[in-house]
Amino acid sequence: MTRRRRVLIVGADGADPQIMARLIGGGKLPQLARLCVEGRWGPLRTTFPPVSPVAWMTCLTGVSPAVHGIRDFLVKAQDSYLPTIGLFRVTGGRDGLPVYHSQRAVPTLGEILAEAGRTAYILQVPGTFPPPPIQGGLLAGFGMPDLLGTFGVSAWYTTDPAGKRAAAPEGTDLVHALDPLGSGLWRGRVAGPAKASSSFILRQDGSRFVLSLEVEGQRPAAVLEPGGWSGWVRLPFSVPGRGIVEGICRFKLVSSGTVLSLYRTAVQCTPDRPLYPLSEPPGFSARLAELVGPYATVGMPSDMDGVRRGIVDLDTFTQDAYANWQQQVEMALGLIAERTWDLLFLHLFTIDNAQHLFWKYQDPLHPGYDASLGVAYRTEIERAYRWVDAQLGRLIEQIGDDTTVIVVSDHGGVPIYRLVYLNAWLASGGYLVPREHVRAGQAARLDWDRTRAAMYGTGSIWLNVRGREPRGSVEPGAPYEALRDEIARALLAWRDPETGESVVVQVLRGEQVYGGNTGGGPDLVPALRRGYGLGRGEGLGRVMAGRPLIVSNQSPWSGGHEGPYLPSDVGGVVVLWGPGVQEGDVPARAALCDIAPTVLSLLGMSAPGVIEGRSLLD
Amino acid sequence: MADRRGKYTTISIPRELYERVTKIIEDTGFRSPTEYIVYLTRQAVIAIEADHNLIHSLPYSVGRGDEQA
Repeated sequence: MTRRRRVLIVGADGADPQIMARLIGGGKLPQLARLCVEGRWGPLRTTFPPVSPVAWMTCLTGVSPAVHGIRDFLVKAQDSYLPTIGLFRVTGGRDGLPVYHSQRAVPTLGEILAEAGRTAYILQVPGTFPPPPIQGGLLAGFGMPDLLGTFGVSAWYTTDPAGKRAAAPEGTDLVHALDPLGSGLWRGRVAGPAKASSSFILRQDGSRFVLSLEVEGQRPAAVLEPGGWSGWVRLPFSVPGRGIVEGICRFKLVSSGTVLSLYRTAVQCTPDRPLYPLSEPPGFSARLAELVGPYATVGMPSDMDGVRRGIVDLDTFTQDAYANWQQQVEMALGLIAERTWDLLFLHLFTIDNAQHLFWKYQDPLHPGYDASLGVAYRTEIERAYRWVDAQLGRLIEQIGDDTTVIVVSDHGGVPIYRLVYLNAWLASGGYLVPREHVRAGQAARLDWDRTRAAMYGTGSIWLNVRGREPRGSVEPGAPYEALRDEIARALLAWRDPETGESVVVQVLRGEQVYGGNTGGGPDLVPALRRGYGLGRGEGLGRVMAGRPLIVSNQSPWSGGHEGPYLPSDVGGVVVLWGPGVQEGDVPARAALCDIAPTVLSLLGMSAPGVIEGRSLLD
Repeated sequence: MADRRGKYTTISIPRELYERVTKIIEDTGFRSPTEYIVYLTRQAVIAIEADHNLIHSLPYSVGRGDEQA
């Protein structure tokens, strides 16, 4: 009798084949080294654009973004010039809260398995919000909002808000006053959903501070030592039509000297009674809390936004992030022990986050490199790879010899040395006209009566076509094609005045990326040269004012993958090991869309006709 | 009445559309075209505000600006 086979997938977001090979060569990744020697591994083609929710959805469905329907973080709305989220659809609910709808057009791996009566556990894979139905359990990944309906907004409470705002001007709205109440007491306010709010009291007790919730008669919710973290604190919010809605967050007492400063993570849905759909079946998220206690439920379980906006330091960021990632691993270990699954898919953002925030500390060529600052953070990227490797070892220890292991990444990682402002470039060519004057370094809205082309999201350019756009001015047909050709040629001719390099390596037409299924998608998509990245502020369909078109990257976002780069410039990696896998290489054609059919093949199932990829074991 | 004048304002819609709305709401429970249009607008505003909350909190390069002038 054939033994039942299982598949464990570790989704190592951002794992880069070259960095991984270098670390394996240096003896730093013993688990991955063993898997590569005994199994198969190689580079893996990513999607265009190479961004996590788009790429992971291709991994989970076996089809390209044109088919699964998730094309970018944000896109231009089809019927207006508004930037809109590209991961799912949002409508208004009767109670004033948003309702989120999936726009995935094909079934995910978990759904395909469920159809065949097979069990899968899928943990926090980007793009899986709202969660699709599944047999087993799925915990939603990136896309899952916090209680405020954002991707995760943290806060900084301080007795010196003016000082913190001056130090972190991009994070001013995240800085809140700790109001003095006298006698060693301060009050802080926490915004909640539908304009509800909650508040806490901080009481000094020697060198410690006791945090209490006002609504509970000041029952202590946490005791904070200097530099220490609270556990998860439940905050109640009175939401009209919903009653009391609870959220969870953690606090860190950052400083308690002359200035009292407290960091608060995003207020997130509770695993047991989430405000928004967190898991499938709905009770699965609570079951996970029984395994590991309360945990980060927001889809990006690390405060990269806080780092970018200057309100959270890198040490606080890593302490919070690794605690959350560790809990994700513990969840997987708890589920492995149950032995009731056919597929277990754990996603970890660790390597991706490290490459975004710590690249400049280890790369002397990076304009943000500072040898003195780099000492503490020089090995953070290596630490991320080693940490994932160690967790992989723990997982492999627990699986049986019936389990095939797949380690897969959605894309690699590259340095971002130079930032380009694509809409400012379009303005310089007369294709785009700002509507207003704003201060240098701010983004202006567009004059749509005079704008012929504009960029949204990860570099996608829409032409302002008459009859398609509300105030379209570009005539369809020959004038439209002539303008597309003209902009494409000009983009390819664009040179960085400092380096002499061309900035754009290729310009794709919408139909080249999305086939006949453009569905309101962009008209042109330029691919940037490695080393260049998009400057922030323009992706919302705005134009940066008073800046050179290309600047040296001094931002906290020193590495990345989103580009947009050609898939061949920032590919991911795949490792296959265990029963059903012979030693050797993965085929040169290997792509993310091959992962779903590979899993189905390992489980003895045939791939549905819609799947474009082919098993890597064929 | 003074309160009501302060809290409400008037907007215009094409008469032909108004008449179609009047017809379609007959069995919906909405008491007037105004009540129905206010409901629809409120839903749309909630959705756009929710979308705004999401796109402005994206940590990636597509989000709001953060580099200093």
